[in-house]
Parts: sequence; C-alpha cells; structure tokens
Amino acid sequence: MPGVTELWNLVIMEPMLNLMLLLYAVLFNNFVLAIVGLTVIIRLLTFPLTQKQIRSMKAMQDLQPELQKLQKKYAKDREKLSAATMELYKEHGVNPMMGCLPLLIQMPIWIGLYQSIYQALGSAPEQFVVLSQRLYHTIPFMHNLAARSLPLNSQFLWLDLGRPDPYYILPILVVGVFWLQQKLTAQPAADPSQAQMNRTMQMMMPLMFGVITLQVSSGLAVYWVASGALQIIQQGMTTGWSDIAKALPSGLPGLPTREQAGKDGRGKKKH
Amino acid sequence: MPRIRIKRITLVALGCLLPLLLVGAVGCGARAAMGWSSPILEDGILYSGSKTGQIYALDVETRERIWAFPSEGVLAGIYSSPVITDESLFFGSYEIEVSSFLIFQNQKIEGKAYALDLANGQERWHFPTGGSEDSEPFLGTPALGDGLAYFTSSNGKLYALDVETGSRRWEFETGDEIWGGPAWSDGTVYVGSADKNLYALDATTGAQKWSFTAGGAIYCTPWVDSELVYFGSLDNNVYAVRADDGEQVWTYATGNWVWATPLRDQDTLYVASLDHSLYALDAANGQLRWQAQAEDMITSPPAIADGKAFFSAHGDGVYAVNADNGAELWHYPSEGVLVVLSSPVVADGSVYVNADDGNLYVLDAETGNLRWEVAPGGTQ
Repeated sequence: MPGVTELWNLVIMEPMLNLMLLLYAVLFNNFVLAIVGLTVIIRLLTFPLTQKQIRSMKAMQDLQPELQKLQKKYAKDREKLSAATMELYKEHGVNPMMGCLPLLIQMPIWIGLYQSIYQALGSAPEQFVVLSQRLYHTIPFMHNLAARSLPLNSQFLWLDLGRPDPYYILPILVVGVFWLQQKLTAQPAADPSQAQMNRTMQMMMPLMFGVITLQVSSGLAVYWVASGALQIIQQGMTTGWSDIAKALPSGLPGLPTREQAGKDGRGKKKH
Repeated sequence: MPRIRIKRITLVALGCLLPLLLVGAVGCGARAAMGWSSPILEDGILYSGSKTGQIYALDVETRERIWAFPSEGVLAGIYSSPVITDESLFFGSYEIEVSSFLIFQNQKIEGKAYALDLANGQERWHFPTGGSEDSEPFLGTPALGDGLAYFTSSNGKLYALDVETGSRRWEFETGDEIWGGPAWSDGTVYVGSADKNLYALDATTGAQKWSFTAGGAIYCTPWVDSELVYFGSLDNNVYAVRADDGEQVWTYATGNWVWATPLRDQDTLYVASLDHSLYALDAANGQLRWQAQAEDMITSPPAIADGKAFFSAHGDGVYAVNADNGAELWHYPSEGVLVVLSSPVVADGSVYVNADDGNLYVLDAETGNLRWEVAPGGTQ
C-alpha cells in the first residue's frame, strides 16, 4: 500500500520528524531534550483526550467498592452480575469504553513519534539516506537547520541513542514506568477471572516493552520513559498523588505514605 | 458476562501485541544494514561485496564464483567497494557482534579493514587486530598510494596502513564520523568528515595541509584531478576546491544531499543527488549542462562508457542516458521494482548491477535487455 504509506509519512511522520529536528537545534543540540520536548508538545496537544481518559478510569476505579458488593451479591449468577454492573455504570454516567477510545485515537500519533525517532537516529547508511527524503528541503529555514544539525549527536551519558542500552538501565526504567502506569490505569474487575486477567496484563505489558527495549534504539526507550512519566504526572495532578503513593510498594520520597494517602481528601475526590 | 469476558481477553491480547505492532510499524521506510558495494571488473573477473555479507570474485565468462570471503559465515554488510593491486584486494567491513545471556542480547556494531590475496581470497591481514576503540565500521572505499592503504572509520579517523602488513603508519582524527572513503593524488590524501570539513593531508606523514569547511556534513568520497577536488555535502551542494590550497573555485546547489562521489569524465562532472537527479556540470566552472531525472534517490556515482552515463536509482532500477545531453536511452526494469544502491560497472558491452535482492544482473549496454543474472553470494 504505497499510497497509504506515503500519506501517513506526509501527514504524521514527516511533520513530527522535522519538528524534532527543530527542537534539537533549539534545545542545545541534545537529542534527549528534543525527544522529551516533542513528547511534551504531543502531550499538550492530546491533553483534552488524555484528561478524559484519566477521569474515566478514575471514575471506574471509584466504583470499585460498589462493584465488589455486586460481586458478592451475584456471586453465583454471572448474567445478573453483568447486568447489574452495566446498570451501575449507567447510573454513574460511566462508559467503560471511554478509557480506551482516547487511547485508540492517540495511537497514530504515538506511532508517528516512534517512527520519527527511529528514522532520525538511523545508525545504518540505508536508514540515514532515507532521512533525506523526509526533511523539508524546500523550506530554506528548515534546510539550513538540517544542514547545520546533521548528523544528530546521538551520544548522551553512557548511551548511544541509536543503539540499545548496553547496561540494561533503560529497559529496567521502562518496565518500572509501564508497571506503575498499568497499576494506575487498572480497571476494576467484575469477577475474579477478570481480576486475574488484569493482573496478567499488568505484568505482561511492562515485561514485553522491557524485552523490546533490549533490542531497539535507546532513543525510543527514552521516549517511552518520558511519555510514561508525563502520563503519571498528569494523572497525579488530575486525580491526586495519593493513588500513585498507594500503587508504589512503600511510597517514594516526597510523596505521601499509604497511611497519609488514605487520609488525603484529594485521593478520594470524585470527578 | 461472557460477552464482556471476550472483550477482556481481546484487550489482553491486544495489549501484549501492541509493542510488537509498534516495532513492526517503524519498519516502514527503514531497513537493516545490508551494504551497497559497487563492483569492479578486472581481466574478466568481477569483485564485489554481496548483499549476503561476503566479498567474492566471479569469472564473468563462466559465471562461476572463484572465491568468497569469509569462506564460512558472513559479515553484516559491505559498503566499501573493493580496491585491487596485482596481488591484493582491500575493503572495509560493517560487522555486528552479538553477545547474549538468557533472553538478553547485546549487539555491538564494529568493523575492520581487510587485505585479501587477490588470487584465492585468503586473508592477508586485518586491522585492528584486537578489540579496541578502532573497531568501528569501515564504510568507505579505501585508497592506495605511496605504499600505503588509506582507510576511513566511523570513529572519525583516517588510518594509513602498510599495504603488506596492515600495520598502522599514522592516523588522523577528525571531529565526527567518516562514512565516505579517502582519495589519494600526488602525495596528498583528501578526506571528508561529518564534522563538515574536507581535509588535505600529507600522504606519508598524515600532517594536515589545509581544510575546507562546507555548509553541511560530508559523507561522500572526494574526486581529485590534478587541479581540483570535487565533493558533495549534506547542505545539498557540490563543491570544487583547489587541490593545492583548498580555495573554493565554484559550488552548485542541488535539491537534496549529495551523497555519491562526483565523477569527472573529460571536462564534465557528473553529480548524483538524493533529489533523484543526475547532473552534468562543466567541471571548470560548475555550469549546468543537463539534468536527468529518475524516480528515486541516486546514492552512487554513474559509470561513463561509450558516450553513455549508466546510473542506478534506489528503488528505480538502472538508467542509461546520453552522456552529451542526458536523454534517456533505456531503463531497466521497464516494469516492477528493482532496488539498486550501488554503481553499475560497464565492460565489453555489458552493464553489471549489484542489486539489493542479492542478484548480479548483467544487462546489454546498448538496449538494457537482461543478458543473464546470478546470485553470487547465495539468495537472501
């Protein structure tokens, strides 16, 4: 499907790639700052969507005690449990799909961002020459910027951002951030089998991303960590930091402890 | 309830597949290192790097492979074209060393400079001999002169090695990576670096004579004649500077990066650009004579023979144009896609093309018709 690919590159990938190049030049020729900068911009652009998603998830989580009551009440009748659960959602104006829909809408943006990082950091000549076809050569300002900036400096601390992390620090960070993200966005389960499935999901997703981080450019892992951290910060600012403190094994410095979190009014605030 | 359960199962499956989908998605438009070695032909024997990671010698009369290096296993990619003397063949490699522990796998990208026995492909020496900071990919085509073999490395260094032993005579470090090769002429070595400078060095000592700063990184091998040095840059320009002091004589702007070595034939300079065009310029003043358009980027210099310019264009096969006016004579293949990143070589009325699918295509230079094809390094 060359037509679809070209359209995708034209509308999604190339604007992101060129914006990233601009950010690289503005942010002291530092590619990590450019990745973080672009992630922040994308987060700001998708803020209304992500905000809706977070609030929807929070509302679902707040219904957890009532769901558990229903589970006890209809422990032996799954059909009635299902109907009562849907009724409960309807009653509180919660749409379970609202947690997924904004995520699906954002997917093309994340993939485009991911592709542009991969393209910009191409360490093999085959990848690098393709970069020439993605830059805005016809805009004099962007042409001069590219000529000045390329090749991008891919060194950051111990990392060559075009290659996997040789010390496995980023994969561990990716697993940690994704695990916390999963924990915070966990949907309440309607029955024990769903709860088990949720737990499996919470473990599998971070591990999958961790394993993939072992194989791909560390620049992509930087993006995953930055994106995940921003998601957690946004969630903390929207629903209160107490949820994050509760999710962590024993809290982190600067965050409230579990006991404090339990007393924190914001943690129980309904949206 | 069963309806919801199916949805949950689907979500779990999608969640686990999502990372794989993401990784798969970035595959569009990019590919792993495979190399694009341009072949050379000498006394009926063709030498080239294969797409499967071997340097080979092929008898074009019998179409039989004489030897391949390494005889067992493969290198990750060969970007350098082979350079030969009566006894030896020199090339640089791009190699990937994989170390793994349980599911953990670490890839180290490195490379070496090699000298082989021309007759049988046996290794004579390689550089560096041990794992060191010098073990970075050697992508550029080497140059020979003054009893030395000059190799460039991605670590930004130019090495002058003894042609007989491979021992290092001197090295010169630039400010960034070097992917193009050096050029030797009359006791001077010229090399371009991604630090945007073209350097002229004393060929026997490595002492810098002069440097010229371009507007962008330099990834191409310079072309040198007795008076001028020609090279392209990522600022889209091709430059002509004086060989003795580096003073700029002229510059010409194309529409995209000039990646390939400019090639001078008599008073014409042929410049391939990633803007999909082959330019023919007046070598003395840079005035445009003609421009031939392909459908994709041109990553390697043309071959000039019998009044024709033959060139390849990434996913657009091979073109033959009139060398006097750029008029298209033929295009191969007329239908379908053939990816070629390296230069063709022309001899005895045949055009030899090292294509990306691993095959060597041999075309009729007059008509562009396929004469024969062979997979010298084994099919991919």
